[in-house]
This record gives sequence, C-alpha cells and structure tokens, in this order.
Amino acid sequence: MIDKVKQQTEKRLKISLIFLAVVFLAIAGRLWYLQIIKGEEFLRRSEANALRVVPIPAPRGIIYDRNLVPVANNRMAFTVSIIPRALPSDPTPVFERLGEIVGHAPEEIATAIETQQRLPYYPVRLFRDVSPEIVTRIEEARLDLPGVIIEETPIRNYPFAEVAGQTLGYLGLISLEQLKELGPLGYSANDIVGRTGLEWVYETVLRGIEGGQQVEVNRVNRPIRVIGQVDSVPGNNLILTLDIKLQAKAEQILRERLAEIRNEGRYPNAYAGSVVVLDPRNGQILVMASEPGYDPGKFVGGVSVEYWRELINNPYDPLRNRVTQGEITPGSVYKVVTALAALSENKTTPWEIFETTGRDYVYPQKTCWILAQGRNHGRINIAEALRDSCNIVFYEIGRRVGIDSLHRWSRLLGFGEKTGLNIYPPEASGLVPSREWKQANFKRADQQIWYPIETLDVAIGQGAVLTTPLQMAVAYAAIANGGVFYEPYLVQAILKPTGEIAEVFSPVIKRRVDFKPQALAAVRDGLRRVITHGTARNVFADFPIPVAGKTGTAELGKSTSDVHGWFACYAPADNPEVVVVVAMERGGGGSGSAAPVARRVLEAYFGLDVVEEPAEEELGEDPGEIGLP
Amino acid sequence: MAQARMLTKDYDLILIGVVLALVALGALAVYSATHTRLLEAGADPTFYLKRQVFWIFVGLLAFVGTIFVDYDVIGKISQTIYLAMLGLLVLVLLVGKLVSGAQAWFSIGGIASFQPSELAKIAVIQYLANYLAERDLSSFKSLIPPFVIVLVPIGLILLQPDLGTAMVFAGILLGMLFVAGANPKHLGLIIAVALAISPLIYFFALQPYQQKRIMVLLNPYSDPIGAGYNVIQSMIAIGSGRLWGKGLFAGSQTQLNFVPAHHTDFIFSVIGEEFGFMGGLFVLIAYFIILRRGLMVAYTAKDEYGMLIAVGVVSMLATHIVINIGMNLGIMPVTGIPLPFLSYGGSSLLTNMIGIGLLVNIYARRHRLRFQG
Repeated sequence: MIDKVKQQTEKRLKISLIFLAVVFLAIAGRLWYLQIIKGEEFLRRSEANALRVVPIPAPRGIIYDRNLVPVANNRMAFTVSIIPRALPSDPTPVFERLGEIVGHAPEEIATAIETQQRLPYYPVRLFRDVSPEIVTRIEEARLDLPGVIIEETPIRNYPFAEVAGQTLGYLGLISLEQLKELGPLGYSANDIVGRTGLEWVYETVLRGIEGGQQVEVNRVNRPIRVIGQVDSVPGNNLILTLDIKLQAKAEQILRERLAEIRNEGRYPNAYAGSVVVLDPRNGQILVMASEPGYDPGKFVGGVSVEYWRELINNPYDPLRNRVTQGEITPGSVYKVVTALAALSENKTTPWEIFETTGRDYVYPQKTCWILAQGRNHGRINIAEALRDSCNIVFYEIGRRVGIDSLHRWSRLLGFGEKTGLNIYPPEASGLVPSREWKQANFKRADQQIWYPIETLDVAIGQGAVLTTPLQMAVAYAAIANGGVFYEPYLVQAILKPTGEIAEVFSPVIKRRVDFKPQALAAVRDGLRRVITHGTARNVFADFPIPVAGKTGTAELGKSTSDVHGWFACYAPADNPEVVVVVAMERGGGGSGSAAPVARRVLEAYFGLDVVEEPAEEELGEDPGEIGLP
Repeated sequence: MAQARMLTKDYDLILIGVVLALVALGALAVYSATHTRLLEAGADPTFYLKRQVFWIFVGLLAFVGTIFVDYDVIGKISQTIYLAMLGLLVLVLLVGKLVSGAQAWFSIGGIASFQPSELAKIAVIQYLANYLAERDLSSFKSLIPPFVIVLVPIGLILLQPDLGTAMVFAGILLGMLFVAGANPKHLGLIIAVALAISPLIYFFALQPYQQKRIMVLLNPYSDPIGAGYNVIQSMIAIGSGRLWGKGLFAGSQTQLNFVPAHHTDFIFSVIGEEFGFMGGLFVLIAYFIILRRGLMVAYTAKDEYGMLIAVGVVSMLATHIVINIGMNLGIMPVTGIPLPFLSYGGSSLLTNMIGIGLLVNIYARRHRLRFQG
C-alpha cells in the first residue's frame, strides 16, 4: 500500500517535472520569437521610442539696401515658458516670483498654464519676445523658478518698420497654393514663409536649411543627451537696389503732402499715392513708395486680429503696392507718347506752329483745360505744347497719327504690358485702348466700333488709358537715356551667408527703340521747358539742378475732387541719372499735388536737404564686412 | 575534508549556487534599472541597490536559520503559524499602507515596508503539507478542507486586492493536491468550473483595473498608453535585446525608463534588453535547475510532509516565474507579482530564501528515512 502510494507520488513528481519542462520550453520559444524573429523590429521601435529630432531653425537671409543697410534681418527673441511637469507640487511661490519679474499677476500665469497646457512635458509659452532685462532677472532667480525656461529663437525683424513694407512683404503661415509650389522643395504645412513682396519672390533664396539635434529622450520626453547635431545653414542674403534712406524720406514726403492736400480741403480723399525713383542708366529701383503702407514687423509671429482688420478695412488698401499695381489714368504725363509717335511718324515737326483757340478743330466740344480760365495757348510748337500741356495740339497730332499707330507707339514705350519687375503681387499691365480692345471688350456692335473722337482721349492720356507709376518711370527713363527700355529690378545681388557673392543681377535691356534724334530732342526740350517756364515752373523755382518733367492731371468723372495728380521727371536734364514719378490718387492737379513731392524727393536724392539731417552720415554707414559687388 | 564531503552530500550546493547567482544578477539588474533615474533626480544612484543587498543578507540569514531548524519542529507548530498569518493578513487590511492601489504593506518604522501576503505563502505551504501528509484524497469531499485552508487567505488577499498573489496560492494548492494524490479528474473538474465562472468573477469580483489588465493581455494595443503600455514597452525592451543584448547599462528602454516598475515586476525586461536572448535563456535554465532540484528534494524527502513542503515551494516558485515572465513577454496578464530572486523587494526575497532554505533543510535530512527504515 505504502509502495503503491510512493509509486504514485513518484509518477506525479515526474509528471510535474515534464509539465514544468514543457511550460519553460514554451516560454523560451516566446523569448526566441520576440528576440530573434522579431528582434530587428523591436530594435527599431526602441530606437523610435528614445530618439527625437529637435529642429534648429535656420536664420532667414538678411535683406540689405544698396548701401548695405539691413532692411530685414533677424533678432533673437526670448520667450518665457513653463514646463508644467517640472513645477513643484505647490507652484504658487514660482508663479508669484515669476509674476513679480515679468509684471503679471500670478493668477494670470496659473490660468495660462491651465488653459494652454497640452502635455505635461511640453512647454507652455507664457510671455513672448521679452526684454533681455527680464531674461537676466529670471536667470538670476533660477533657483526660485523650477520649471521656468527661457527659449530663444531667431525671428524676423524689420528695422525700418513701415518703410518699403509692400516691397519687402511679410511672413506668414504657408498658403495652400504656396505649399503646392514649394512642397516638392521640402516645405511643410506649418512652415512660415514670405507671403508677399520680396520675402515671397525670394523665399527659396532667403530660407536657410533647418538643422536638427538628435536627442535621446526618456519616457517623459525629457532630453537626456544629445546624440548628434546638424547645424542650421542661414539663408542667402539679398542686396537690393533700394536706397532705404531715400525710400524713408520719400514715404515721409508723400505722407506729409497727402495730409497737406487733405487739409487744404479741395481734395479730401487724397489718402493714396506713390513715388518711384528709378536709375535710367540701368533700371535699378531706388525708391518704391506706396501710401498707405503697412509694417511687416507686425506680421512676425502672427498678425494680430486688430491690425489685420485695420488693414483690410482700409478703403485705400495698404496691402497694395501702388507703384506696380496702381493702374490709374495718366492724363498729361502720357502726352510724351503722342508727341514721340507724331514726330517719329512725321505727322508733325518740331517747328510746326499750331494755332490754338482752346477748342479742337474737328470736335469743338473737346476743349483745352485753359479755356475754363477764358484763355488759350495761342501759337505754339510741340515743345511749347508739352510745356503748357496744351490739349489742342495733342488732339490734333493724335488725330493725325491715328489710333492704330498711337497704340503701337504706346506699346513700344512699354504701356499695356508688364515692365518685367520680379515682384509679388504681380504687376498690373495697364491698358492701352485699340480697335481690337474695343471689339473684345464690348458687347454691342455700336460699342465695338472705334470712334475717331476717342483717339483724342488717348492722345492726352485720358479715356480708357491706364498706366502704373512704374510703367511711367520706365518710359521716362527711356526718354532720358535715349530709347533703352530696361527691365526695372530691385535685387542686385545674392550673397551667401559667408559673404561670398552667389549671384549678381546685371541690368536687362528689354527693348531698344531708335527714336529719331530730332523727335527725342523736341520732347526733351518740351519737358525741360515744363520746369523752366511751364506748368511746374513755380514748384521748381530756384532748383539748382536742371530737371525735365511733365505734370499730369487725370480727370476721372464729374466730381471735381476725382482728379489724379501726376508728375514724371528726370534729372539732371542734360545727363539724366534719376527718374522720379509721383502719382497722387485723388490729390488734385499734378503741378500742385505731385510736382512738390518730386521736388523734395530730388532734393533728398541730390543731398540738397542735408541742413536738417545732421545724422545722415551715421545712417548711411553700416556696410558691415560684406563688400558690394 | 570529511566535513567538506558531508557538506556536498548533505547540502544541495547546486541549488544554493544557482540561487546565489540569480540573486547577484538580480541586484545588478536592479542597479541598472534604477541608477539613471536616481542620478537624474539628484539622489544616490545606489539607493535601490543598497536596499536590495540589505535584503539579500536578511534573506541569507533567514535561509541559514531555516536550514538549521528541523522541519519536523515546524510541523508541530504549523497550525499556530497558519493562524498567526491569518491574523497578520487581517491586520494589514486594517492598518496597512496603500501602495499602487493595494493595501498589502506594513510600514516598519517608516523605513522598510513589509508585505505579509508574501510570507503567508510559506505559512500556507507548511500547513497544507502538514494537513495533506498521509491523507487519503481519493474522494472529492476530501478536497474541501485543503481548499478552505487556502481560500481563507486568498479571500483576505483579494480584499487588499492582489490578484497575482491569489493566483500564486491557487498554483500552490493545485500543485500540492496533485502530488499528494488527489484524483486528477477532480482537479480537472475544479479547474473547469473555475474557468466557467471566471467571466462572473471578471465582471463582478474584479476591480476595473484588473479587468483592464486581462483585456490588455488579449490585446495590449487596445490601450497602448494606459494599461497596455507596460506590456508593449516590456516587449519592445526584450525584443530589442536580440541575441546578445544591448549590454549592461546600455538598454535604452531600461535606462530611459520606458518600462514602468522595471526594477520590480518588469525586471525580466531589463535582463532581456541588456543581456539578450542568451541572458533570458540563462535565467530560464537557472530557474529550471532550481525547480528540478526542488522536485528532486521532494522525490528524496524522508517523509510525505517534507515531500509536500518541497512540492509547495516548487509550485510557489514556478507560479511566480511563469506568471511574471509570461507577463514580461506579453502572454500573461499584468498581475504585479515579483520574479523570484531577481525583482527588487525584501518581502519576496525573504519568502523565497526561506522557501529555498526549506528545500535544503528537507534535502539535508533525507537520509533519516533510511536510518529509521
């Protein structure tokens, strides 16, 4: 019996051992499966667990003006953040101490953490772009502030605020269309890119290459150590053709003059205008001013709702660059086109004398502006007609040239097409009416016909004619330089971050028009007389440098305040080095509104206003170590 | 020389050697698992190591003490031990401190914590062995008293609540009943009934966190950042160790604290990650040697009482090992029971050292049978 029990026990002990052996084999099999069969996969997953890449933002390229003054650069911004997890269990003393330093209530900090906290280890950004003094004070109080960190990132900075705002453009979250274009270049949906202006046109140049730090993190995502680092590469720098000092001056002059005009009362809607300063020898744009403007700096880190609302609710659209986009009726500044066409086509000669009575020979209802004063321009030649801006002479020669030829010459002088400036938003083309244009754009058969009387409007820059200030500047530059049409440009060079030159942009000649020398001479003569004896003689009285130019007064409708004032000129008249075009929207007659702006801009250009600017030397001198190409 | 021969003959040196090797490996793994976290917190990196070494010495003292007390003496006071243990389990429910949701600990002067349910296993083993020895278990009715002996402490432990320890008691009971001669059909029936009513237990007796752990076993990815997190991270740690491991102190899952409680319940993941398949296999073989030696002790024991104590100790260790490693490998629910000799923790180490002490004790006294018989 005992033996039987013992036998059974021994048997069951053996069974137990076999059972355990089977179980252990199963466990070993599982171990084999996890470590040998699935080992590589789990290794990858353990690496994915522990390795993070922390991006190192690349500083955006700096934009310099022609004198190497930075007009868009970067600054380091300090942000005070809190890592909720690192706070002590009773964070109140930390909030009190921090609140004391930054000047906010401790409750405010507690609320911010409560509302903004996403993950316990993810920093809650409390105060952005704080002053270095606050950073110093926080660093000094480090021991009292567990969980408080200072983050430092480069952000865009525009030292001149509103100056050249539309030209430089602003940064913002990449748009869907931009992403479509830039996606293949490695951009992603939450990138901050140039949204307009040069910031967008040269986005891929200015953008650097983001670096990254490979860090090992623990379970709470806290970086434990840096495993590898790839430094970021700053973006390339731009050297503009703009003269930021002159640009600032021009904007100030423009703004002041618009305010004066409004105050004078006759033109209460004079809120918008533009100034363009162009070098007729190469097409470089020195000034591109458009009022009203905006401060791209206010877009850094996200534009505030109030500022954006202010911009889009402004009826004069500060986001619009009027130099390139402002298609407006040119009025008499356009008369040079008619004059060059008539002289080139032998429809008149410089010495032909026109007998004017203030009324057109064929259509007496078409009158000259001077008739309203009960006078007329009497016997004048074409240069004198430019001097006095006589409509009658231009009606007559316009009729002789005819719309087809006038259209052709308009296009030759660059109107009705983009100048070729590389800018965003895209340039407007303007409009030069023609028979084809009428046919294409009107419905009724009687509207599609070109009536001879309409040629008269085109001849004096009225009717359907629309031009941008930049087109006007390019045309006057060609008159000044003898027929060379340069593509205007804003960027003369791209510099690598190291200072080496990556690319230099030379002047591009779009077209050369061989004006008959005597035609050009007659027009230049007329433009010079405008300053000396004509419509701009009062404004330019005592101006020491010879200027040649033309006033324009574009009438838009019945209302007497609906008048654009233009002035287009070049100087010195005998050896032109600068073209200035001023357009004052609803600012009244060109001689009263635009010409004074042009004069002051020329004064600034030629340094005739130095008396009131003792700090000028200082401003101009900041070339750094980078050499001009 | 003669004494040395005595020692090798009387004392199971292979068993003792393997246990010491495991205990040493455990201390190393505990240090690997904890030192970075402690350093990071600015604390003494050897904090846990020192405590573990302290408990190793306490365990060795208990081990030696257990060897030198004849287990027959224990048999005489076995009911007293059992009842005292029940008293402790009641007391811990009343005054014990709460650790991760379970009221299972006594705080000793605020320095060390002690878990009476660990030592309760030894108390149950020896009392059950005493009861089952020389008893006829062929009838189903005869199985009721042993079930009551075990179900009383299980009930008290489930009140804490501690599902894992309760499962260990079930393992001890089944192992001992089987070897003591219970009808396998009866045992099979009991297991079948337990499985059949387990859904009822699942829905009515288990705490939500315990329900979750069982759900997670079925699919760890059902709750990857909650209850399934531990299992997934443990599997990643072990799997990523591959054949030879990432090396001591070089396991990213371990050193960067991706596996929670990896110095206690998930210590096997540390070994798996840092020492690889070879390390894991070494541990499995070591355990198998211990269990096999334990069954050998049972086989050679001078009486059925000693034999059943050995079987109880083997059942206890085997249940711990299988449930814990199975949990680390994602094939057992997360029940929070330690891995013998390796996991950080004094109560567990003490209990297991006493268990090994009992095995050595029984083995050393195996010959008396021959002298008497």
